[in-house]
Amino acid sequence: MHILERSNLVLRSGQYDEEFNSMVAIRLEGIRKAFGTVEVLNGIDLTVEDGEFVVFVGPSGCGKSTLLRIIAGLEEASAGELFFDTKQITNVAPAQRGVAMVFQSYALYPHMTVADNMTMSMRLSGIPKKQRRIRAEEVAEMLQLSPLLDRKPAQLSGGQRQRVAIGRAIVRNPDVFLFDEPLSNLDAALRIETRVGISQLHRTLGNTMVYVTHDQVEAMTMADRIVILDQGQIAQVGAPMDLYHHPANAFVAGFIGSPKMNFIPVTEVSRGKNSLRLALSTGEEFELGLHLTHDDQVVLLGIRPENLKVDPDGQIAGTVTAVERLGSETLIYVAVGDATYVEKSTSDISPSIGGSVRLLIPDQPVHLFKANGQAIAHETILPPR
Amino acid sequence: MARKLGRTLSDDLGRWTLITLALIFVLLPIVWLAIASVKTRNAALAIPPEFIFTPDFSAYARIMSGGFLGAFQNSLIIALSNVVLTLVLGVPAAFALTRMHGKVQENLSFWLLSIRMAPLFAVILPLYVLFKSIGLLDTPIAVSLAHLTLTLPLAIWMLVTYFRSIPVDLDHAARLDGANALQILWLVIIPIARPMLASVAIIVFIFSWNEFLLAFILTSRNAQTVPVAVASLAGTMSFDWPLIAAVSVASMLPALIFVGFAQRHIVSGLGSGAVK
Repeated sequence: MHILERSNLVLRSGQYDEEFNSMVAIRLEGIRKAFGTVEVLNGIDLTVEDGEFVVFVGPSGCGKSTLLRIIAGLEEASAGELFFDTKQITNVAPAQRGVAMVFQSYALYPHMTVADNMTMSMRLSGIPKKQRRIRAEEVAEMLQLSPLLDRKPAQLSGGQRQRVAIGRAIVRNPDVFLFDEPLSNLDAALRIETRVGISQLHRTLGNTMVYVTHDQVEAMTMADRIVILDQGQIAQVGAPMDLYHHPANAFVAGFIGSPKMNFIPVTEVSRGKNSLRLALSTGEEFELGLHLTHDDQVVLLGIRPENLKVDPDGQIAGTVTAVERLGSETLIYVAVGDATYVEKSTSDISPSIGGSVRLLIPDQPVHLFKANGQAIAHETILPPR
Repeated sequence: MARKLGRTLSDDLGRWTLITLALIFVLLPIVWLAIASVKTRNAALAIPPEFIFTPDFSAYARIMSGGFLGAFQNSLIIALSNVVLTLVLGVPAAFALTRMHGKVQENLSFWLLSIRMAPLFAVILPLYVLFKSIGLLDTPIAVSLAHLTLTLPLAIWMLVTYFRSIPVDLDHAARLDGANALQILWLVIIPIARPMLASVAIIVFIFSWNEFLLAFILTSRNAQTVPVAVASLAGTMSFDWPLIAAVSVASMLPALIFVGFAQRHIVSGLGSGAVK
């Protein structure tokens, strides 16, 4: 059951149609937020374009929800400015900003019916009950909530409550939709379904949407652009596949992708024009056909699990500790010294647990990082093996 | 299975015995009072007590003729006005204490509780002097305000605990819907907190209805409440036991009616479904 199976109905409806194309760009300039002495956001500069779907993602405590609440007006920034298009809205009340928010907890009024929940904003604007009902029915039809309009939240399932919360946001005709981890309370199947539904909602309505999640899969599948936050700062902004292929630092490289990237500590032995010789902590040395464009010393080598290969000609010797067969792919965990690396293979061949294997590091795609975690630019010279 | 059944049976037996004993302990004095109220003066004082007698309802007639209706009226005015004042002042105060953060709020919470820590005797004399100086002695307003000093901190304390359990996301959702603080309180918090408001109303009403010491000190004739009126019946020379019993029995009725009415609002599970 998709959120927007009958979305065209909304587009045809009178009131909504007129206000349909109201989109805004969001501009954040030097946004800081501190709770007491704890600095949560540390100077955020960002522009979310008109009609863009931007996902804030990062680990717990990175400040992503706080940033969303600052955009909503529920939290006051300690410093910095916020603009919707060219209008400064840093001190504008939440209701006057033209935003609607879907909360992680849904935040439905438990004593009100679904219809009253969805049209609370209209009630507060003094719109008569009859008009409110028409609007509620219109949005309910779009979200397949029509039979539930007179029920109270306690009589709804988690998924239905979630749709009511989205419906409440749609009713308001906002310029900007804000989502604060809206799928975290749903089971896995419903989460995927709703994820697709929200993406469809964005395509249909075309509004600017900002979505907060800690789940990188949600970020990768839904976003036009992802903003990765780390300790109150933007670690990188970019299109999902751009972040995947060209992470700016080890944090982004480790955060995007599942299973996460393998990080292998290395020491640079020598550097030729078109080659780079590295040593593992075990003392083994190997060469990559790369041309480095900077002088920075390589201390960390990053390889995605799908690029690592179990191969008798591999550079690294290790022991298989676990094998996970997922049907379409197999994950092989190989212990090398204290570290464990993961290989993702689409073949059915799987070594036995406890067996010795060698891991092959290809010339590309690999990611090189310097001591401060920043990626080192390089060009691959040799064709991939 | 048999062992489990046996244990359940003995558990039940123990539970019912306890409940019966508790009921006897609570109800026996009331039953005894009700019986005494329909005896004659002599029969009420007879030792050993008479269990077979002709009921005499003259004590109830004497409530009407003896000027007790005034006491009932005073008690009702004091208790109801105290309930209204406590809720009208306590609800916004508790809301502010739970939803606004700062040093003032922290200190206020402690200050409110500290009033409850002071013994009643420490409060009575200043209150007496105060009400005397503003000419409110022997009026229902004085007793009601005196009761308020005790019930308001208690109510705020109870409401603060309850309001804290209401997810703050609901306030945020309402703010985004365009509600100001008062609308959040009126349209969201109060409807959700209705069961707790009813509980507070019951507790405050019962306190005010039964309170003796403050009412005794602050009133003399005009604003006398039922407990004070009952106590005044116990003179040194005369002791109209059936009348005391009849007034006591009659005084339970308004409280029972109020509790019965307020209890209908205590619906469990009203707050569920708000989040998750």
